[in-house]
Amino acid sequence: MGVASRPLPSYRPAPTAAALACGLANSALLLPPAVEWLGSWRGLLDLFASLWTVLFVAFLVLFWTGDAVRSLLQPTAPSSPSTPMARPRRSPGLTPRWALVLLVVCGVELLTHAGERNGFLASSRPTSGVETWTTADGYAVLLDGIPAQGDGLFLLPMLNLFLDDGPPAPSEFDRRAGHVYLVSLLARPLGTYWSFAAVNLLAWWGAALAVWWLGQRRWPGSAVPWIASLLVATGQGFLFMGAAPQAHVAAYAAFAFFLVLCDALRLWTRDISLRPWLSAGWAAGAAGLIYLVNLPCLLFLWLYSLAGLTPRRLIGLILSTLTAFALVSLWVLYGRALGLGFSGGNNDLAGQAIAGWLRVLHAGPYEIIGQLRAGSVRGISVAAFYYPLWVLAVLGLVVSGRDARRWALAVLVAGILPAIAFSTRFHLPRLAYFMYPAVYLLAAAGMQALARPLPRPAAVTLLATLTLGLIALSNLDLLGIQQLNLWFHYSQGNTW
Amino acid sequence: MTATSRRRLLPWALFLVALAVTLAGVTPAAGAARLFFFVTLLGGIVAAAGLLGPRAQLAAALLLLSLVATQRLVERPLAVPPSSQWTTPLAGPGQVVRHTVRLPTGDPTWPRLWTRAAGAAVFVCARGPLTPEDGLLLHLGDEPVARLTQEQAFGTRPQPTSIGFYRIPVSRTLLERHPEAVFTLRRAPGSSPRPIDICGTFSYRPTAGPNSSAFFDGATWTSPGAEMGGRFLIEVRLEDAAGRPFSIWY
Repeated sequence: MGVASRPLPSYRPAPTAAALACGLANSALLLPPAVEWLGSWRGLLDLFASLWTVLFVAFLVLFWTGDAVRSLLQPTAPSSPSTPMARPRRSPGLTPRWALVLLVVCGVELLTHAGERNGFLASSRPTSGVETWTTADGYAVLLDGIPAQGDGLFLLPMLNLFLDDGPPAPSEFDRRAGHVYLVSLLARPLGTYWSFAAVNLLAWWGAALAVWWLGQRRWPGSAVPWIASLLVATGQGFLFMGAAPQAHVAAYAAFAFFLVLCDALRLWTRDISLRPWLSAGWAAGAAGLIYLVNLPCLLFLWLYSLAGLTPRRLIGLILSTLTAFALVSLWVLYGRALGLGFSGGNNDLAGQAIAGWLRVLHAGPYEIIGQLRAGSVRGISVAAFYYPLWVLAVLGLVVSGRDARRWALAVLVAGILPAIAFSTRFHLPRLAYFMYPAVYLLAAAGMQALARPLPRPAAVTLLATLTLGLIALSNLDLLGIQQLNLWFHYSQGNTW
Repeated sequence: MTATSRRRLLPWALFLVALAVTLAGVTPAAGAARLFFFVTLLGGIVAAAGLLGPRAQLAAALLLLSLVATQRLVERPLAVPPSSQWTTPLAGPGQVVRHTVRLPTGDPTWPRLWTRAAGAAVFVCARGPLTPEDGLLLHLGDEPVARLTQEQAFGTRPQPTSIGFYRIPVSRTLLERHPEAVFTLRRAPGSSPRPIDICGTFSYRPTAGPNSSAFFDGATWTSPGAEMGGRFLIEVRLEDAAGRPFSIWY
């Protein structure tokens, strides 16, 4: 019996992966010897959640890859799921009023979290109870007389280069020069501090608009795009990073723009030429010049494209990937010729992550479990998005349509994988925050599902209450409660 | 040339004008750095805007042109931030590091803070390791507080020779005797000849004004506040029962 005539088994990858991950994570808990940290239910559940997440991601990617291979070998058979987003949908226009509302909300959130109120800075002060080496003002630098997160200092040589105020000088952040270039366009009129903030504000607003657009496309005719875009405008990661002179906000926006671009290019339409794939690769590479956004971009591209994979799409994926990495590598070569060093820990995060996992994998299964305990994936994920968001997002995943679910899972996996990869060295909820387009859209879909059975006034009240509750939660620091900022900075670790 | 092709070419013509504006007359290094990101990032933005339609693409090109023109036309030098970390060597008994902290002892909040506080400590930053022979003495006004040694070292530091904090517990009564707390660091007579680096940082919210810190080199007093917007790293911290600081003054 040939491959072509073999019937495809009927199964759903995500629930199957979830069930398998449950079983295997349970078994894996029996592997370590009796250790103190497995002596409590909290410790056990934390490890179980981290194991489950990693195994779920692994099985899901495995099943998707298996489906893709079958699609390649059996091109006429229906793939599971069907080719995503093959039919372009009509997207209602964004009202200027809503765009303005989002801009105002982003602006108010940035201003209320600027200067010494910035979460990145505030959580580094000795009074937060974590750092013992910082001064009363935290890990800070004074930019134009305003306290800002201390790493901003290391971006100034690059800023001076772009402004023609200084020669090339190596820094920890040479790979993120694209962000500083964008800042340099505003630095003369706005000054150092506010040019960083303005780029962040524009990126933040752009991210909210992009998530609105993605919501309209995948959850059409619902309140999902409005709620999700508002959640972006008040999102924990954006609040935490908004007033920090760092590349993260621009990077978060770049990821959302990339997701929009992929849809706008109609990459997943059959028989499309290879040019849009090159464009997507260029976009991923350009995003990689801002921060390591090329990783979630390319991961998403591959994962989502696995459904109904054709030889032509495979070539497109390879072209995109090569283009992206070529652009990022070209900057390294070009920058070195300019006199930049690309040395230091922040310039070699990917290399450190690979080396870390190779060491752990070489050491054996117990070491892997120990690593998942030390770099709790659950702690990182919950620090990036607090429990209520996850609960709503899971509900949203269950009630969403097939394509929306597949898309959201691809974004979630693409967003969490870099954070898992880097967890051998750093525990970075700010990396896991790349999941935000999916988490906020799914959470909004979950809210909508809760409200659907209710009469309209009650439904509106429920949606408003839940949205305002989530907004209040991410703004707790304005009342002096820094806990969410602390978790976002340092991860929740093994605590609940 | 048709109207359609004009509409398609105009944004890219503006893009080329912007390129000329951004590169004209700059040093080769700045020009090369700008060129790379102008092409990769801004070129990508203009191309992507084309997906939204010719008007959006034209608007994007105009916006970029205005941004690069502003970058060239506005003559505003960027302020150099005050150093976040510097040191001053305290070489011998004739030299003094002084830092004044205005404590809110007369404020109604002071007793309230002490309902939570388990104790207070002065934090001094210096380069280690400190031995008794180094003779680094901390005074509050005329009262001797402590001779700083490695036993008081606080927090992790990369190397024993790195700079780091020294934590010296002080009593509430001592602080209340000195609402205008003038801390001094001196070297004891007969101390080791090696200079001890005392750390400084920028001064954002000094309780005793911008010139709250001063250094006496044996002949004259100078202020890091006046010279570089700085202060010596001497802080008073109130700590709760867990040892976590919850109020800090400098």
